[in-house]
Amino acid sequence: MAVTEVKQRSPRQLATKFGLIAGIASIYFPVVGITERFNDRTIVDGVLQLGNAIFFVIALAAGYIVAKPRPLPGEEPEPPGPNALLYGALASAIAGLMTGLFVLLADSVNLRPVLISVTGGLIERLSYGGSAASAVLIMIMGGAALGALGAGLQLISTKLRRPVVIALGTALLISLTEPLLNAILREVLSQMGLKNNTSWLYEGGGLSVTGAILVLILTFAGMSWWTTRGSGVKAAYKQRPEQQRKMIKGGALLLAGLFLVYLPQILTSFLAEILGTVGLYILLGLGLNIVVGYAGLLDLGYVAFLAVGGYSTALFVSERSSLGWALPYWQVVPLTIIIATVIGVMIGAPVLRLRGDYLAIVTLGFGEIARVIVLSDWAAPTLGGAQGILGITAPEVFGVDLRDPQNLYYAILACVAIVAFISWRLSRSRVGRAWNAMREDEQVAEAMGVSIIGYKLLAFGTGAALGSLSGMFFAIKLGSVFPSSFNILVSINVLALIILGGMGSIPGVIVGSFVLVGLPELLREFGEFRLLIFGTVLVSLMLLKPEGLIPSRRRQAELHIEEVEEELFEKRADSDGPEPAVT
Amino acid sequence: MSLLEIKGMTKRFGGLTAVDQVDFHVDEGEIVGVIGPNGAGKTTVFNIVTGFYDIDEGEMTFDGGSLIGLKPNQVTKRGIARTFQAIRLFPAMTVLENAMVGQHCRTRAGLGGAIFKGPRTIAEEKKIREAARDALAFFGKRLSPVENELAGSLSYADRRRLEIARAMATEAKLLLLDEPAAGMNPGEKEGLVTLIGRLRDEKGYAVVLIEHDMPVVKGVSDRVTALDYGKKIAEGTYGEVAKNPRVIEAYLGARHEETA
Repeated sequence: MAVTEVKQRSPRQLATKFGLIAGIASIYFPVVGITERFNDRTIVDGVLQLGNAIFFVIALAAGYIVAKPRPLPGEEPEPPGPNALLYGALASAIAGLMTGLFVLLADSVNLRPVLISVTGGLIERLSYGGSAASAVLIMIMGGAALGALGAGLQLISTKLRRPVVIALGTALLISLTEPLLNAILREVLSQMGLKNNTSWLYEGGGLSVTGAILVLILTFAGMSWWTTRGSGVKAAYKQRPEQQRKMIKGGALLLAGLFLVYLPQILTSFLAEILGTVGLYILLGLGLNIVVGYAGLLDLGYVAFLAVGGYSTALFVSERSSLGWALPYWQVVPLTIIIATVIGVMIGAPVLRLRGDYLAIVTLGFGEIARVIVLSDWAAPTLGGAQGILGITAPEVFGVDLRDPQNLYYAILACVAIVAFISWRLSRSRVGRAWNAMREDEQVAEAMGVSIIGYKLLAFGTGAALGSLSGMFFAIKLGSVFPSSFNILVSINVLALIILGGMGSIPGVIVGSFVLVGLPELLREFGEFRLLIFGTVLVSLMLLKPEGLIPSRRRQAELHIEEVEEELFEKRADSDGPEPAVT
Repeated sequence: MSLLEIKGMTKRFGGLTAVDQVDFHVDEGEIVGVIGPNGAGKTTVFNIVTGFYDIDEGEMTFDGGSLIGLKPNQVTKRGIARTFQAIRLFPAMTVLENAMVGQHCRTRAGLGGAIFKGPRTIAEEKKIREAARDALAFFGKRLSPVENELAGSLSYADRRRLEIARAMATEAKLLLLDEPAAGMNPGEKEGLVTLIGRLRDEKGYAVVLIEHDMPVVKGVSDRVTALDYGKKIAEGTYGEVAKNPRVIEAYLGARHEETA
């Protein structure tokens, strides 16, 4: 293998480097006010506050990363020796020293005029009750201990390490989602006729001590069972005959479906509301997934179809629209879908010859045009201009009023199920194959008999029709439509959730919607830091899993094709000699 | 009457005449080799026939119908399928799916068929699968066992084979192979010669191949056409063309600069 001199840093250099990074991080958080803001958030009641936990996590991570074995390419990783503990400790001690010195500085000089978050309270908290001078000592020693602990994680065997790391992560997650989970748990308990006392798990806004121990032990036990036996279970599943595997898969789907049907019963109305929004985005995502994921046409103006769906519903349904027809929904739904499809094809037609970035820019323009047209004086008499259209009555299906968030949730769920089914069928059909071929190589697809024009228009039309469904629910949900709801951010969000979930993957769209649309809502309690955290999560997800959370096989292959080829190269090098001729 | 009949084909790119008054024909069940130095216009001829370029002057008929003005997918439907000089598979689709795309022009299921999957669609899907598997099976144990692998993970020679299989799956009468031997080792080239022979003898295809590798051309061609600077400079059996002074000159580049 052609390896041009790999730069190998000495462990001490590495420790210093990561120590400095960790130091900067652990000063950054208090300086911007995150530590102070999060301090009243409990992780484990009476033991750990989120504000302190930030430094703990940073120090642990620094030790963990420094001690990680770094083999040269082609070498077996060597298990780290006891020296690793030392270097881990060194790294986090450096971080601790930096934080300590910062506390000392902040104590002697008033930094508040510049850094408004550096209050006396913060300094007191960071010195853990002692003087600022003692804080330096405490920070160094504490840092060293935590760093060594983190490095120690690398020393124990993988079979043990994974469960430990995952158990710690799960505990943190369960604790942080306390406001959400605790409410649900209470509801479930009271519905089951039990006392809704959850103090065995949650206390004071975080895990109780018993809860923490419980979660740690349970996750640890579960994960260590899975790391030792998991591969065996997977293999056993694969050996089952096709018929049984299908049944297991169907059973899992059914369980998930039942859970989703039951979900609104235990959710607060706020959460049910979020769930409805997530559902709308899943619908949009599935529609755009056909255009982008299947057919490979990068469409940045998808919001236009949300607008088309919303406005055509409003026009036909509302008595206060310019038409004032107040049509029944069984006529409105097909009308809306037809209008959206026609507009989708109309938008698709002029961009047939464009590819990639050019297509993206033009569709971006179309998305904006849709909004501008609605706002324009020309369309205002019909579409209501900036005032929008009000008075959209909700449909009644079998006597059930869909305005109620819970009922609307079920309607959206049913619609998502239908659209997901359609997408799934399409992906495994002649049409889906033609789209995929077109995405892979337009010219070759054409040479194999795929009509590029026809299939591009089909993709735009199908995507538009599905997107308009989401617009319809959007209009029903709000009871009104305004041009400001249909801005470019929606297009970007929908595209982002597809990429996040995994291009071309239906489960990916669903998971992506929950992360991208649900997560920011759940982070609301973190106030102004909400988007900072959210951004961090997104960036790290894309760095760790560039192919998305649940990638389709194709997408995974595209991003890892080098590895596949490398493997192939090695395989062939092993079997050496020329390939025998074809007969 | 010939299967493919080209008369006076001319194509200009700006001031450059890439193909100049070329007459060319292929009979049914015939293997024709097209040779010529780089830039002689060989691939351009393929691109014109398959509808990627418009023809500037001349006539093209295939199987009794004109090819002029047809789009590439329509040409494929008429029964001409091609491979590409630089291998162009659908790398992130499986081997079988690649071949199944070849069946696209012979089938009809649309959006409705895909969603409702009625008996007609199911039957058609089965037919597509069978035809694709047939095409793969032509290559013995090369492609069939790996039909569920991604095409991008195949070895170089297998990718070439899959390209041919994909072209076969279109149920064409005429295959246009653009440098099928490029990048193959001597053993594989020998195999290719046998394979192209089998394409004609077992499956009845007419084949046109562009090739630089003379032993391969010699091994398979019933007839050879030589191009240089867009013009046809020789035609005949391999022996005749190889001895033709203009062909030798074109390949060795002798005196061209002096006369020009």
